[in-house]
Amino acid sequence: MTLYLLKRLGSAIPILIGVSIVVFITIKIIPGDPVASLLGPTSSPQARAELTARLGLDQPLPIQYLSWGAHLFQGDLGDSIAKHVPVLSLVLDAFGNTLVLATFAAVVAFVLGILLGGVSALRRGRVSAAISNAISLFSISVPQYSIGLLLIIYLATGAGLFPTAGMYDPINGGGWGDLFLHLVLPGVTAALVPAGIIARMFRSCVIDVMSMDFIDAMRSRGLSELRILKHAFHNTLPTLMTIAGLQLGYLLGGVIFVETVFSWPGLGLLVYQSITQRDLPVIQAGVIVSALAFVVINVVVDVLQAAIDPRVRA
Amino acid sequence: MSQTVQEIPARVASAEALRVDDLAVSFAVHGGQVHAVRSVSFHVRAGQTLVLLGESGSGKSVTARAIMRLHGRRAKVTGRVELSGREVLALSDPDVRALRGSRIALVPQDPTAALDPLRRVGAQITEVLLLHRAAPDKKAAQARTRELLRAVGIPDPERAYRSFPHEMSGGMRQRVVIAMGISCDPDVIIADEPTTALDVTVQAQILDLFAELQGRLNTALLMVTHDVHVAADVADLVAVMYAGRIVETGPAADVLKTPRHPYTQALLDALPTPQTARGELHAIAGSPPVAGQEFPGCAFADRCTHALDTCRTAEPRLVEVAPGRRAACPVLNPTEAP
Repeated sequence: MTLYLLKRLGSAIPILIGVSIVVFITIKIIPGDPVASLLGPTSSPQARAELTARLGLDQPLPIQYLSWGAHLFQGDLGDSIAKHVPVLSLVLDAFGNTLVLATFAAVVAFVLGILLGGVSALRRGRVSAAISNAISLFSISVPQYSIGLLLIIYLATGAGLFPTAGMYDPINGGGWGDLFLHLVLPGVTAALVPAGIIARMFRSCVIDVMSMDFIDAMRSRGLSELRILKHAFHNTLPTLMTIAGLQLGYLLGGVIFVETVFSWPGLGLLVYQSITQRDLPVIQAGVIVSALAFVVINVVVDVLQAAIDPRVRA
Repeated sequence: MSQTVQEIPARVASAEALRVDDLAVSFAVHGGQVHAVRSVSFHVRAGQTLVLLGESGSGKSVTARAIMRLHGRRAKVTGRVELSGREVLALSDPDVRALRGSRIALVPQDPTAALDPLRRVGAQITEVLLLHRAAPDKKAAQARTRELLRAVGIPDPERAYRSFPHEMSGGMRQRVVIAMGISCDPDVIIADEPTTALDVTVQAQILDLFAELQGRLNTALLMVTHDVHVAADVADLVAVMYAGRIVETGPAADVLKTPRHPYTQALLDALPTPQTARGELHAIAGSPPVAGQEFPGCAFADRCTHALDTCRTAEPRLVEVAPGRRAACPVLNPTEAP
């Protein structure tokens, strides 16, 4: 198990290097000469050449990448062009807020997805299964921004049950209760698509497992249906965790629409604002942090999978 | 006989462990009912082995599963199944569950698929023991599990106990499943093609194990197989099934030596022997019936070399053709009186 863990962690390194190369190349591909934009259109060719040399932009690309990578490795992601503060602290703060929202949404999505998928698989051919299917299909298909706006209109401004935006109340906010109230609407909105996906995948997984021979063999040994369901659920966990990991990774990437609609100060909103302000260093950092979160989640999922399924460890 | 049941020990050598009377199984499909098994009757005594012999689709596995009431709601099962004096088809679901695995056990065809891949072998056996209260507590159940693993000839029971199914060979897994089957000392063991998934060399070991365990535990064994060699090896009694019915039954030695039904004959003729020359295998002409196919007369008539015109119109009944032997072929077994 320890060996498997080390192997799995080792295999994440080349992925991270790959991500950094892609991000680096993206910067290079994006049109526009950074030197020209820094010095302005009237600068002399001599001044431009000087700055080019000072920024290291006359070096071959691999050398530029290594120097950029070395800074990245030390957590130096440069300064934000629009806000004039270090990118790292900006992105980390936003990521922390996204983590709160994503975790809440993930819990909602898992509970809802497992319930809907389970009912739909185990009550096949009945009305309850048809209703579950309809709900999961609906939650996948409806655009997040429209659901978000509807929730704001009816539950926030209309019924006044929840705040319309933000993470804490600016006047006498703070504390867990206030955070929870602010979380409900964006959390539910962000959870809908993952819940639908989890429901549909979990449904087919439960059907697969329930049709396996060992389920029937358990029946022939006199196990009750409840106990059989328990063992069947255990057997769906490896698949369930893979789906869940993907969905959580997607949520952590910053749910751009949801964070924008609800003004949630997370990574999605930050990246959205940075795109409109052409704040390239922040966009880069956002992409790198999302990718990193995705890789970390996948490693965690693989390790959990190995803990559950002995065949993966072998 | 049945009045003195309380005075005699639970399992006497000659006691009837399993009696099946006029069993019929049909499944609801889109177009109506498909009859998979009809008028199947047999009985097995403690210590006896009955082999249900037949091709795939003949209804032998359907019969075995119907005895344990393992068919779901889509199946309609009629007739009588008496397990050590209890009428199985009339019991409530919880009562049937209490019998499964304790009074009647199933050794399935594919031991690999029959084990939970995520749990250790020992835990899976222990679960059955605790479920049926065959052990007073967890500790006793674990000790008994190790004993059982040793009893089925697993060389390192301690290691097997802690192994996951995928870490064992097919033969070892089959032994594990057998250990699970005998764990609660059942009156009847149903073995559904228990050697089909195994190598030939391991097959013989598993059959020997069945024989040894049966001798020791005095259990009734109902074995389902398509393999005439297996039948010849283990059976006291044989019931040959074709198209959902028993076409011939009797002591294995007699039935397999002097068959009284054309299908049994054809089945035996189809066996290759070391003398069979290349290309000279006697396949049975035609194809076996699809499960549930209906026939006005004898289901085998179209493939039968003895068939008369009357075979295709009148359904042959299973009649006694010799003491303890019954066959459903009036052509090979003409009655003296018309």
